[in-house]
Amino acid sequence: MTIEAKEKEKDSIYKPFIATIKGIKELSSTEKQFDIQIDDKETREAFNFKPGQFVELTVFGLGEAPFSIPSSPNNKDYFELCIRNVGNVSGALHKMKEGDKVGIRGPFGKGHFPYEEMKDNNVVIVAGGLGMAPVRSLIKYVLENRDDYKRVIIIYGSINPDYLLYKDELEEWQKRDDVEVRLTVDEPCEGWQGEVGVCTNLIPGIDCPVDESYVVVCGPPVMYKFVIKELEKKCFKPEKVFLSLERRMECGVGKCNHCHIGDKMTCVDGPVFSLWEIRNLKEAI
Amino acid sequence: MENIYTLKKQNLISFIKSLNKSSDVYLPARDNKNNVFNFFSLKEIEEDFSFSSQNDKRYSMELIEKTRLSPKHILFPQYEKLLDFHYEKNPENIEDVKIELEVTPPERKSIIFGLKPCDVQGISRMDKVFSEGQFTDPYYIKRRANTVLIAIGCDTVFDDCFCSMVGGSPYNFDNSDIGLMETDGSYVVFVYTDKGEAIVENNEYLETTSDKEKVSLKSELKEKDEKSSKKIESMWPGTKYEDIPDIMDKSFNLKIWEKLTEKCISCGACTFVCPTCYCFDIRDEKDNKQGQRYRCWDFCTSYIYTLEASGHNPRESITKRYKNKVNCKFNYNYKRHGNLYCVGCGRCIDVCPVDMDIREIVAAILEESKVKDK
Repeated sequence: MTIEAKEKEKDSIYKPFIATIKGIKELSSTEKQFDIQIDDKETREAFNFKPGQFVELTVFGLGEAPFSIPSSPNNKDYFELCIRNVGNVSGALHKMKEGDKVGIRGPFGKGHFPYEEMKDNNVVIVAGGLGMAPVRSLIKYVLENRDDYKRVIIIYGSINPDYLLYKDELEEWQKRDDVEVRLTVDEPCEGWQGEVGVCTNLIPGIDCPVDESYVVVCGPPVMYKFVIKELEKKCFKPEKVFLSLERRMECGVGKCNHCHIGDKMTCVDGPVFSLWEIRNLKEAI
Repeated sequence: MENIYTLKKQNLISFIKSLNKSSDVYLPARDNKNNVFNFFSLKEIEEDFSFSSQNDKRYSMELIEKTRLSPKHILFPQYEKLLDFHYEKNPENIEDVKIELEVTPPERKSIIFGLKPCDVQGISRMDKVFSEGQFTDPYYIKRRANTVLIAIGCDTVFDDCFCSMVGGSPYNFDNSDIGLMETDGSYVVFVYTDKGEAIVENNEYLETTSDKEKVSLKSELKEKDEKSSKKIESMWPGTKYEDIPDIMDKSFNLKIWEKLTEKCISCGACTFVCPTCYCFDIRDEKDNKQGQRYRCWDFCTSYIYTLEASGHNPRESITKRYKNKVNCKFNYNYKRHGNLYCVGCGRCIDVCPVDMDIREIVAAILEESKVKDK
């Protein structure tokens, strides 16, 4: 298509939808959950995301930042965000109250967790710290459609028990017979009943057949190298291992180039990549 | 669509002025007061401007040398407003918050006159970035669709010119709407597109050519192109430019990158003058209830370019950042968009405060990769 023909596509990719913070919940000492509802009803109904995708959230006057969506895609009325108080935008957001307005662009990301392909397979989730947020959307979806999947194994590591996110849900999942939850922390407190150490240590114990298993990984950047090494030792199939990568995404639409990894853009080609793809990407891990 | 006209040299000025009536003409001009040499809007400098340098006006046109900054700022401004917003909260009723967003894409018609073929290639690279893929950029595209490109071939090549090493040539009019070739008493005006034809149609200063003349003018253009190309000696003898991306892939982990890049001070000057560097940053400015969202040029050699809020930085060293810059131009964008994102204008070589030369860096990598292959 020529530039002249494209000119007719007038919708600005940089214009956010207006949305309202409907609820705020403290998840840990540094993370809060925000329930976000898009104001315009039509837009809200058209807003369909897939587990692993993200939105660009605007605090007007301060700027935009990318956040993955941890809630279930089946929840159409609003979506949740899990936000750590760490940057300009997230810092300002932590000071906001219910009823405050924000801007939303998205959902973005072509790469998402392949929840359709995963059906009739075992699902192994490896999450570290805030990495729980993006994979929670997938966990929610899988549990809502539990019969479509074989075993569900969740390995989740954190610095200490206080930093574990979604504690009430973890408890609930632990009580179920059809979910295997393994928690580990670096610094246990008194009465801690889970494992001690990094979540990498729990990978050798995964006992499901690799041919019928999908693995999903998300956590701090330092975690990936070690997790991949362990997964490779277990011979998990690289095309069935999916990792959600973190980069500084600004525009979200593949133009500003900040988040590129080699010839791929984290925002439009990712943020979820298969291990197979990542092996061919320079400086991905 | 292809048409060929001639324009007498003494009519060049009148010709440009006639174009400026219906559109906004940008042309390469020296600001003699501030010693700046860039593309300026003729409408903005008209009052103190002369087409010749032999006078005391502040601005004068210059068609032989290439401008210090590339012309990319005309289509992709250094600062650009993406949207306005108005945020008002009613203190009496917290539910009552008003936000108005206004997006204003640009509307002007413009003509860029006197582009070097490498600059036109630069614009064609920008076109791909902003118009290809899942999303298109409305601001760039709107401006670009309203812009006509008039190139002028290069008879003089400078020390830092290397277009023919990266697939271009001094008389390559690909992607130009109109190309000018200088001859003894006149300019030959090659019109390649309908958009170009529309602005010169019935222009009183242009003379039509016969079919026979057209044939000979075309072959003259070819000759000139070959003659000028010969003046540029390749610093990468034996390597085809299309092969560079694969060599870059293979050479990614070579130790030599460290030595080659240690001089870089991350100032970003090379990226600002570059006709193909398109990275940008998005920022909000707010004054009480009113605010704007802007985008502005950014550069990948900066430490904070990839710095995340968590403190993680995937390219924390200058070696990683400079290697990324070279790969962006000679590898990644070739895979994404099918072209090298270096057009050989040489501006980065000219402007670098620590004398880094991208030709030499690529040459060193090519050389080292050959050694490793053996």
